[in-house]
Amino acid sequence: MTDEASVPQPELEFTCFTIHEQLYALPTSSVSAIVGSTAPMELPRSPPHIPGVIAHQGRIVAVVDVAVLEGRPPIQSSKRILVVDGAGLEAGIRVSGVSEIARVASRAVGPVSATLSPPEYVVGQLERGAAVCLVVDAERLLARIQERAREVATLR
Amino acid sequence: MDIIDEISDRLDLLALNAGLEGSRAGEFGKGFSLVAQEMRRLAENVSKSTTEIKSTIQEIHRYTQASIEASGQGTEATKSGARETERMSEALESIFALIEKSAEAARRITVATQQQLSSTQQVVDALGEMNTISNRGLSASKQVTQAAAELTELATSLNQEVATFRLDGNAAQAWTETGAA
Repeated sequence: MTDEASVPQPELEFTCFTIHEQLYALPTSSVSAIVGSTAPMELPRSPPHIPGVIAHQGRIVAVVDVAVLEGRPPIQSSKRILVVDGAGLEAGIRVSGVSEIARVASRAVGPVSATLSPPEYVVGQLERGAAVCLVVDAERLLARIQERAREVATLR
Repeated sequence: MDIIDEISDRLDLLALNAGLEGSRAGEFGKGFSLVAQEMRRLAENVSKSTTEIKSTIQEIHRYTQASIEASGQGTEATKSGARETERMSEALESIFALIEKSAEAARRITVATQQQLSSTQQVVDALGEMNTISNRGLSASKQVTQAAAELTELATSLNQEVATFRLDGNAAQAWTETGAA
């Protein structure tokens, strides 16, 4: 019989950040960089959840306010932008703050509680101290951002 | 302070990105990630210290301001005290002037009272004199009355004496005419 405690558990690494008071985690593999939050350059007729664009390593990256995407008030005092890759897209996710780069055992990530009624891009949850951290799938998030942008464009 | 804050923020950002790079390197990047974590902790400590220093400076500033205000209030209180002392001095001078006037009035009243007393004494003396004179008049009157009574008595006595003498008709007529003349 194999002792479960003696078997090395695979580890996952997350970039933990806050949007308003809620703690989220993105796999570090999907975060290419963390940049200081600068005022993005506004674009005409851009959807409300895309306040503008920034220049990052010679590329134009759209900045996304996920709070607005979910119908919440925009993030007023953002200190960081996470540059996220996935599904062939790149976007700068505006966050309230980055708390840590966390290395956790894979079994620490559990299914998301149904009572939270999370968006479809939240794929799990893990505990960080007393707080519940929602694990985000970068590809699903970027797909949701793109989908919402298309919806806004169609309405116009 | 703002410069330190900015350096601390950049250090934090650098540590976060170093952590990301370390995580991408897998097992080989663990050491790098640990260094990045330490860098981040250092940045956080610097940030906390900066906040504390800011708070201390603000407190010093507040105390200094309070001290300046208290000093200003002290100066104002001293000025106010000086003004009050001046007013008090003026009030005392007014009181002294009134006391002087009151003393003068009292002196005048004393003199007037003394004069009145003297006049009253004179009146009393005059009344005494009048009484003496009146008494003297009364005595003289009594003496006159007594003398008149004695004269009346003497006249009565004389009349009685005269009545003892009888004269005839001619002699009586002659006496009467002589007496009438």
